Amino acid sequence: MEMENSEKDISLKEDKALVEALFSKESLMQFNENQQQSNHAFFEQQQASIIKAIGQQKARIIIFRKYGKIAVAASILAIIATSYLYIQASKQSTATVEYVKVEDIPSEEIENYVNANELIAEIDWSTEIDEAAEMFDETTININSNKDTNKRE
Amino acid sequence: MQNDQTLVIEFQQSVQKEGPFTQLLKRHQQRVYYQIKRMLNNHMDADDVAQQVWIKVWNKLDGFKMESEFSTWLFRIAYNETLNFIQKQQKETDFNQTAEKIDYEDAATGSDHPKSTQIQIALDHAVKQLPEKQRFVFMLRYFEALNYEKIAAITGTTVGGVKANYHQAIKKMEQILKQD
Repeated sequence: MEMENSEKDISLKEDKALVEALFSKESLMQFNENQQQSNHAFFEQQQASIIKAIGQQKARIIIFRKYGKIAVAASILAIIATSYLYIQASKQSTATVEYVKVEDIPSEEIENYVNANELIAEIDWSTEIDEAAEMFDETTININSNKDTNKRE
Repeated sequence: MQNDQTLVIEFQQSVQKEGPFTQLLKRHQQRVYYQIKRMLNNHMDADDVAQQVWIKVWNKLDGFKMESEFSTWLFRIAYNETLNFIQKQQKETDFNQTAEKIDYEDAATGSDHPKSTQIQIALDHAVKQLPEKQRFVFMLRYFEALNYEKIAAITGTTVGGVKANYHQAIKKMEQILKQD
């Protein structure tokens, strides 16, 4: 199919003649015909598929426009709700720490805690004693050695 | 019969866009498909790319400012989509070389082109050897008979550049013909 403005283009014939000198005009026409072997039904089918694809795309956009806004609003609400809950929870936890005093803790609870952690307390004590003993030994050894040197002098 | 510009305006202004779009599609569908087919030499690929082109046209037609003719704009989209497709294919596999070889062999045996003669086979082979841009310019100039200004607008180059591309394409085909 030739464009209407092709007639105005003077150099077109010359340009075509350059190719036709290499390959015959018939073979060039044949080449073009080989590429254009699609029938009318194909183009109708292609038209239908293009329109269908566009319809599907439009439907997707409509769904996004309709539910996209709701989804965005819902996620913003969810963020606000979770941050509110988090702030509230942290406020409550600091509040309890502020108002709880040792005197307010019932003695039963303290006893239970001590009983539960008795073994740990014992271990802590024994290590403390051991460390103190080691320190004591080291200082006595140092004192004795100082005395010996003084005597020699 | 409405011209392209009227249909584009109708598309841009109306809510029911299917009507003007279908008219534009019907009017240019075959030329777009054939140009892509000449480039890709494969019906299925050409069909896929042509469909992509029209979907892109649908999506972008609202923003088309009519600084050029609709058909120039349309062929520019087709040119870009075809080049993208070729580049993607080249990246994905080294299939092109093999396919070219097979196609050439098919042409030689005459299985794909029943009316093939020696000169047609040589032409087919020479066209396939051209770089994409030269091939596109050659097809638009020889088979679509477009002027250089329009081809330059489609390919995004200067008129001089397009002329050079066309003549380089012929030179290259001549060399290939001599080699064969």
